[in-house]
Amino acid sequence: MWKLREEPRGGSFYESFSDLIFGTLVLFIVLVMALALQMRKSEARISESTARTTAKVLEHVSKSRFTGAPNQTILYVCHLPVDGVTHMAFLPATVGQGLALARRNGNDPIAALCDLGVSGELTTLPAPEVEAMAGGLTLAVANRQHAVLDHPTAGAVLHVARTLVQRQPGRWNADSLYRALGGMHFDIAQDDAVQDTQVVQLLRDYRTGVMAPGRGMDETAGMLERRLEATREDPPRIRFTCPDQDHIRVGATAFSPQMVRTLLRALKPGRNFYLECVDANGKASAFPDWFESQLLAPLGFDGRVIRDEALQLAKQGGRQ
Amino acid sequence: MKLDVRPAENSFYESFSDLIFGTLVLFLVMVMALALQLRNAQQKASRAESAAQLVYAERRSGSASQTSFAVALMLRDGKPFLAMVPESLQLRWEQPWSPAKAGADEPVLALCAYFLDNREGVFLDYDGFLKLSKGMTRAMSDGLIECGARIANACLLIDHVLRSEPNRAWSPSELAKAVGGIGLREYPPAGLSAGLDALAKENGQWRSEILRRTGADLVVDAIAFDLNQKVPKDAQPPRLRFQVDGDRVRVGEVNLTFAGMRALLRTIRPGQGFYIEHLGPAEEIETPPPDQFLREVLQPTGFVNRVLSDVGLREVQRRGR
Repeated sequence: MWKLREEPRGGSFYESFSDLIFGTLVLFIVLVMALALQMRKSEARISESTARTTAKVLEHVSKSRFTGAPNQTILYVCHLPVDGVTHMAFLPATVGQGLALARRNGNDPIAALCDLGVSGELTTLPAPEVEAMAGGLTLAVANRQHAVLDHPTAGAVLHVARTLVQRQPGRWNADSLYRALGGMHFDIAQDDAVQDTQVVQLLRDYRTGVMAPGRGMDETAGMLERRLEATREDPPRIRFTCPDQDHIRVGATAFSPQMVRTLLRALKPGRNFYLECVDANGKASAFPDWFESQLLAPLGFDGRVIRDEALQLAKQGGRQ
Repeated sequence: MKLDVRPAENSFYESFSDLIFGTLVLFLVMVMALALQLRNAQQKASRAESAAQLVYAERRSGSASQTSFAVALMLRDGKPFLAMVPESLQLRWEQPWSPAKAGADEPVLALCAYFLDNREGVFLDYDGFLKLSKGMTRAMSDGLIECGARIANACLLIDHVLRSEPNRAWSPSELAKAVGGIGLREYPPAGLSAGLDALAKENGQWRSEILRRTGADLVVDAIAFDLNQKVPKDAQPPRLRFQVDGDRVRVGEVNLTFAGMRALLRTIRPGQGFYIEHLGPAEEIETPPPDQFLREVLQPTGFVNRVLSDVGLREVQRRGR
């Protein structure tokens, strides 16, 4: 009888395992080589892309022109009683600034306010709707200390104009109101020149209503301030949701295109201020073309905010 | 006793297998490292791509109003001088103020704090100010604001007190108290010492004399008249142009220190289309200012946003941004 000779068991296992591992190693070497090649290609692509981007940045971003602002953003407003409810009205910045300067021909904010009051083109928001804007604002554009400037003189003129035109539409126009208020030097703090009894009464109502402690600014911007405490460190910003012309919102407050115009005209943008567009979910989204062409561009809000990454790449490119 | 010796071929395969296994583990680690590096590189590439978009599609800056800048005219040491007043301070002085608004917002205190932080560069002699004109366009010079007698008096008195005790370390509230505190908001100022009162009166009379002599309604008209004699009427947008040479900044025909340039920039409330522009030594455009100027002047004054050229803007629009 022949007896089969058997290979030792241990040797056979190690040999097979060794072959298997060796084969795997070869595969890994091939894989590593492939990865290394891809890495080289990727790196070449990245440096090419970076160089291209840097070149674009340098081409488009001026090296010598700078914009910005040293001061805080200001929103000019005044307050009016409408049907017993305090409303905030957006005041054109030119009028607000005019009230802070010496008055004369060429700077007559009272005449401008009379025109505005009679025209009915004023944007007013009741206090709850001002508070509802909180979701679209930061404290830097809504605090009473620096940002929201209330002009009681403007509020008083607009209150008188709106009330009298409503009561006696045929009798009052911008000129007659201007004369009744005593002309360009009218001031709510010194209204000695006012003779008309109706006007005197309305001014008295304004003082006791809107200018009393806890009223006016305290009802609108005061409430807003409390809601915006969490945004204290954020840059000044107004955030719009604008899917279409009928659904423009700042926070939860609905705005028509005309209201947006008056809001933007009431702003004096300061350091780091920008307007922002978000979608219904609060995610950053490009401004629609209609918003840009009908509202932003005509009002001078056409400056593009350049990405920090782009500027960084420009710096990395060794040229500024 | 007898040692149990393992077969030789068994030992070779075992050692070889261990060696290869060890190498494999090393390769595995290498593959993982390479894969990680690849991922990072791809992330970088995607960042580079997003940077290629250059601008935020969802953000816009700008302004609907006109550019303005604020100065205050006074008689200082017998000569006309202008103080550069930050527009925010000018505005604060003109707002209705009540004692309830105490603290750093109190206008005299705020002005004192400004002077203490900016001991140099706040004042420019009148002729020097007019020589700035060549660095401005008409749309910029038309935005001149003269702060009026109250702020002019306040600047004059604060400067006088600071110069009379040059080595004293003042706090804003001490300085405000020394110049008469909130009484400076009155016109004529109330509660001043005899010396300061005489200085304020002299300044007031001199300012009235300017109005009488020039026939202007307001002091700003007299300054604007002189300034606009030197700034040609053109349709250019509001601009301020300057050159930097070492630690000096040339605006028009005037050399300012960095502190002076900071003071000048702080007076500006930028409006629609405004930007400042650095020119090279031969007045060539697109010359970047030195890094030191960026750090010490532009960053503290908030002029840090770069302007996207018209070509760039069109390119961005073409790409549907």
